[in-house]
Order: sequence, then structure tokens, then C-alpha cells
Amino acid sequence: MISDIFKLAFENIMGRKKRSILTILGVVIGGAAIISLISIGMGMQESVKGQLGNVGANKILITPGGVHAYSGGGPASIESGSILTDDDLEKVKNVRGVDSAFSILYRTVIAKYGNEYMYINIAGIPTNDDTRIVVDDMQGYKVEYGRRLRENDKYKVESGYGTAFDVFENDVKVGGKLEINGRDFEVVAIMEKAGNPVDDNSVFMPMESAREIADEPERVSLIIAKVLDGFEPDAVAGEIEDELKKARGISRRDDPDFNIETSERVIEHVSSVLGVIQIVLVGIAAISLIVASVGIMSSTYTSVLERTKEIGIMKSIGAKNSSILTIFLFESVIISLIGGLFGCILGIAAAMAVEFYGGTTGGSMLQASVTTELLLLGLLVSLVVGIISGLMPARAASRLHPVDALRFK
Amino acid sequence: MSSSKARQWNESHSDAHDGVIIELQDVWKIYKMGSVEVPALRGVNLKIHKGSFVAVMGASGSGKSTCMNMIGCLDVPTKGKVYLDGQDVSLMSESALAQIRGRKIGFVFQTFNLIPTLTALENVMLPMTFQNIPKHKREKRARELLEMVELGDRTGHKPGELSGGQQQRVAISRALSNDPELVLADEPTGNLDSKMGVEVMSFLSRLNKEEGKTVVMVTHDSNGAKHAEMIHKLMDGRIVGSEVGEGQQDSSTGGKAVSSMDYTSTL
Ligand SMILES: Nc1ncnc2c1ncn2[C@@H]1O[C@H](COP(=O)(O)OP(=O)(O)OP(=O)(O)O)[C@@H](O)[C@H]1O
Ligand SMILES: [Mg+2]
Repeated sequence: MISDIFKLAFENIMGRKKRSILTILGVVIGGAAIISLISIGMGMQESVKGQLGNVGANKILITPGGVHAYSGGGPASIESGSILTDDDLEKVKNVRGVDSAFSILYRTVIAKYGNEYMYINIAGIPTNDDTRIVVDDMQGYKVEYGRRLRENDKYKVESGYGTAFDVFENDVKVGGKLEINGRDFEVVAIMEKAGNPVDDNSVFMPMESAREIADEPERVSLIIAKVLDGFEPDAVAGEIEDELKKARGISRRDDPDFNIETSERVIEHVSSVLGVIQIVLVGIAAISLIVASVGIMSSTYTSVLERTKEIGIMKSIGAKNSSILTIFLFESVIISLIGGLFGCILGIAAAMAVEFYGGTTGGSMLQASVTTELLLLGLLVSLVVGIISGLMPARAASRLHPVDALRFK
Repeated sequence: MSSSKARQWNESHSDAHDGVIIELQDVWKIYKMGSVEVPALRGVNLKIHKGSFVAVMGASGSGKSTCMNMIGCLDVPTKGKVYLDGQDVSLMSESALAQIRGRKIGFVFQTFNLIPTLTALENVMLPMTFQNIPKHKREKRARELLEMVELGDRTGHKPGELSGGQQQRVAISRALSNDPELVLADEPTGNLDSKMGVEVMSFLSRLNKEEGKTVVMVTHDSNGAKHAEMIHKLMDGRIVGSEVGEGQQDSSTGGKAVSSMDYTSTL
């Protein structure tokens, strides 16, 4: 019975091929939009969460005023007039609940490798063994080729994965020479891919060398503190804030001229921003799906109108209202499932294309996440769309009066 | 309440209820066209006996089709009662009526009314589909019926690829597919030339004579009406006369035997 009804519905669809194809096309576009936008949104979330995952939840990030954590040192911190120095680092280290702390100095510079000049980021990091372990642990730095910087490696660098392979025409190799500000730096290591653009596109060098190059004897771009187990990161951050304010002569009640955030909060903020982006993406996709659904509805209504006489015939030979309803519901569901299937395929292709082009232009935030769940969701959504948009026309069909329907020309 | 009324009515007539398949009691059908009321039937009383062959005649617009719709449970009266096998049709749900139309009644229309996208075979199978009859039984039965109307070689043709007479024969096969007790034909020969018309008419007649089906037929053609045992004349929505037809005496129409089929066994 079901297969016969399916067949009747299918004949109906095949009887008006062009219109069916156009309707299906609408669903394909809607479905593709849903799948690709969701998968890109999820990919973005995964990639950002991955980056933040390295940081861990028990860290406190302190940056100069007006500049957000992780945006690096740079002109902004100079403009803001607020600075962080190694004195501040020492104060942070002495706050109760702080396990360890270190500072990083970021700067964008022009570097020469071979005959090529390119902009790169340098990051000055502590090189004494004890602190370095903390840095590596907190930031998730790992050496892929070569060896770590040592304490007296003044003019040597570790190259981030991106800087090594994506920036210069010739790949940067261990033992190669990078010329920065007229100084030759020997590359001692290529780091593993960290998955975030800040670390991957940097070269790491000892703090003293970075200070020399950046001409910054005191300033640091970022202080990172690790909270001792058993202490509440928010509480420790509050104490650090008070301590630094006191040192700067800022009253407890006033806003500080620096930013202090726990990694927990950063993760929360970023997640909520990503959530909003995700909602916007899904919203856009939903609109195209609604348009597709209206398309199915109007196509099914037309089909009901065209088949009014046939509905009368079927009722006169014993079709129940429910059989008529099922025929037209099947019709819209078949259309939406075919559309949904092709939409999924197209959506995945689109997401992968975006990832591919996004990947080559360096934005590692753009990655697609294609899961079986997502595909099933796509098909489920198209099933639901088919049912919803077919229900009204199918009910109208099933409620036609047999005599009136038979008289219809 | 209504059944007691039915009994009363029956009692006042000499016919035994058993022999009556359908009965119309003071049936009115009033169509409302905006504020204007068009009475298509105005108090029709009619009894149709099991196994009879009845013709309904009358001028165009006299209410013949409306009357057939009542008999076929396609429509319900504005006023009055329709009893099918003694049951009040107005008390039945829509799906019960659909069930009855599917099982007890077979329709043959003037305009054939086949589904154009389906083949002859599929058209004949369709009423059985709605009765959830298994596929192989349906197909077997449909083939037999098409062979009976001499269309065994046209099973795969769509209605558009068949002549009018052939289409009407497919329609007759379809009407018979669920082995109904009652076959209703509204001007079945109206769209056919006279030769085809005679052929279709003889099919219907044989259905009545040899298969024992109750046949009710609307016709304009008094020659065709001759097959009937009883001819009712409608005028302005009322039965104005009923006469005994030739079908009553002449029981040897056709002569060629309809391929004997045991419907109950195939169903
Ligand atoms: N759906 C309807 N709406 C309004 N009026 C209707 C409707 N159906 C039938 N009528 C009117 O009811 C009357 C009877 O119609 P019906 O179709 O029963 O006539 P008929 O005897 O079958 O005629 P014909 O021989 O032309 O088929 C006519 O006056 C017709 O106009
Ligand atoms: Mg008529």
C-alpha cells in the first residue's frame, strides 16, 4: 500500500518534471546553505576551542590597557600610554595563589630569508630552563625539527610552523639564517603546528634579543600567570589587579590601565561570540530553507489543483481522505528529500571549498567540520520541511468533496 | 431513531427489506449558489432491488447525476434519507463511506475518468490498492478483468493511448475490480459512437444477467434503456414515472459467455 502510494506520488512528480526540478533546486540551495554554514560555524568553533584548549582554564592573562589579550604588543599599547614591564611580572609572581608567571614581548618586523623580505612576528620568551618548561607547558609549544633555545642562544630563533612553511618562497630550515633588523639569527628549531595563527606565524627568540630588536628595554606585551591548584582563578586575578593598581597608584575603585582576564573568562567570551556567529549563520541558512519550503508548498498546491479531478476519481473508487493526504504528503517529502540529499552533497563541497581557499590564505579559523550527524541532521531537516510544507496542501486535497472534485474541469 | 423510521417506511411497503440494496426516502438536494437555492432533487423516493438492472432517464438538468451521487454515497442529501443495505448513510463517517464506495460500489462515468498517468492495468488495480489487497492478487485480478473486456493486450497502455470505447471498457474493469454488488453508470455511452455504445451496453447487461450485479444506469438513449428491467423517469428533481423495461422479459442479451470468474476466490 505504502509503496503504491509512493508510486502514485512519484508519478505525479514525474508528470511535471520541469516544475519539480525547479522546486527541488530550491531545496538543494537551502539544504546546501544549512550544511555548509553549520559545518563552517562548527569548524570555526572547533578551531578556536582547540587554540584556547592549549591555554587551559587556570591561567591569568595581563595585557596593557586598551589592548586585548593575545592581540600582541604593537602600536596600540604605545598609544594607550599604559605599559607592562618586568617589574609588574615580579609583582605578579609574588601574589598569593600564583604558581608561576612569565612575560612575552611581541613585535612585527621585516625579516629576510634568502633574498626575500617578509613581515613576520617575533616573540621574546624566557629561555632559562625552569621558566621555559612552564612556557612550553602553558602554551603547548613543541619542537618538530631541531632543538630548543638555550639560555645563551642570543641570536638564535625557533620558527613557528607557519613562518617556516607558508611565509617565504623557500621553506625555512633548521640551520638557516633569518636576517632581522640587520642581525643574523640562526634557526635552531621548527615548531610543531600549534593550530593558532599567533603562535604559528611567530618566531621565538630569547627575551633579551627581542628587546634589542624592538628597542624595548622594559616593556612586555603580555604577562601570563598560572594559578596554583586549589586557588580560584577569579580570586587570584582580583588580587593581582589590586597589587598592580597599588603599584601604579590607582585607587581600588577606579578602572585599571591594564587588562586582566582569566583564561576561563576568555574562553567564555570567545565561545559566546562564536555562539552568536553560529546563530547568525544558521539564521541565514534557515531563511533560504523557508524560501524552499514555500516553494514546495506552492508546487504541491498547484499539483493538488491540477489533480482535483483525479482526487475526485480516487475518492469515488474508495480512496479515504487519509490515502489522499498521504499521496500529496509523499509528493512533497520526496521532493524535499531529493533536494536535501543533493543539498547535503553540495553543502559539503561548498564547506570544503571554503576550507581549502581559507586554508591557503592563512586563516586557519576557516575550517569545515563535516560529521555524519550533520548529514543526518540535513536529511532530517529536509524531511521535516517536506512534511510541514506538504501538510496544508495535502489536507486541502484530502478534504475536497468527491462530487465537487469530479465536476472540476 | 432513524432505523425505526426506516422500518416504518418498509412496513408500509410490501417489499421485503432483504431484497433492497439501496433506498432513497424523500431525498432532497439543494445546491446553494450564493443566495440562490437550486433544488436538484425534490423528494425522490426510490428502491433498488438486489440483482436488478435499473435505468434512470430524464432531460438534461433533471437531476439524474445528482440522484446517482446519492445512490453511490458520493454525496449526502440536504434532506431525506439514503439507506444502503438498510443502513442510514448520513450516519456514516467519511472514511466509512469511502470504504463502502470502494467495496460495494463500482462507478462508470460518461467521461471514463481514468487516471491519465497510470496504465490500464494500474487503473484497474487502483481500487484494490485502496482496499489494501496484496499486489499479486491485485495484478492477477486486474489482468483477468481486462481480458474479460477484451483488452488483455492493452494492459500497459495509458488512457491517452486508448480509444474511447477501450477507455470505457478499462473503466468497467476498474468498476468491477473489488467485485462490488452495485455498478453505477452515469451515461456510460454518452461519449461513444453507437457501435461502441452497444458494446458497452451489452457488457453492463451481461454483468447483470450473468454475474448477478445490481446495475443502475443513467441514459439518454431509449434503445439502451431497453436492457433495463425498470426505467425511472426524472423531471425537475422528481420521479415522474417508472415503467417496466424489456430487460424484464428478454433475458438472453449477448449470448457470448463472460469468461467465468470466481471473484471471491481471487479476492
Ligand atoms: N455542484 C452544483 N452546484 C450547483 N448546481 C448544481 C450542482 N450540481 C448540479 N447542479 C444543478 O442541479 C441540477 C441537476 O443537475 P444534474 O447534474 O443532476 O443533472 P442531470 O440530469 O445529470 O443532467 P445531464 O443530463 O445534463 O447530465 C441542474 O440544474 C444543475 O445545474
Ligand atoms: Mg448528468
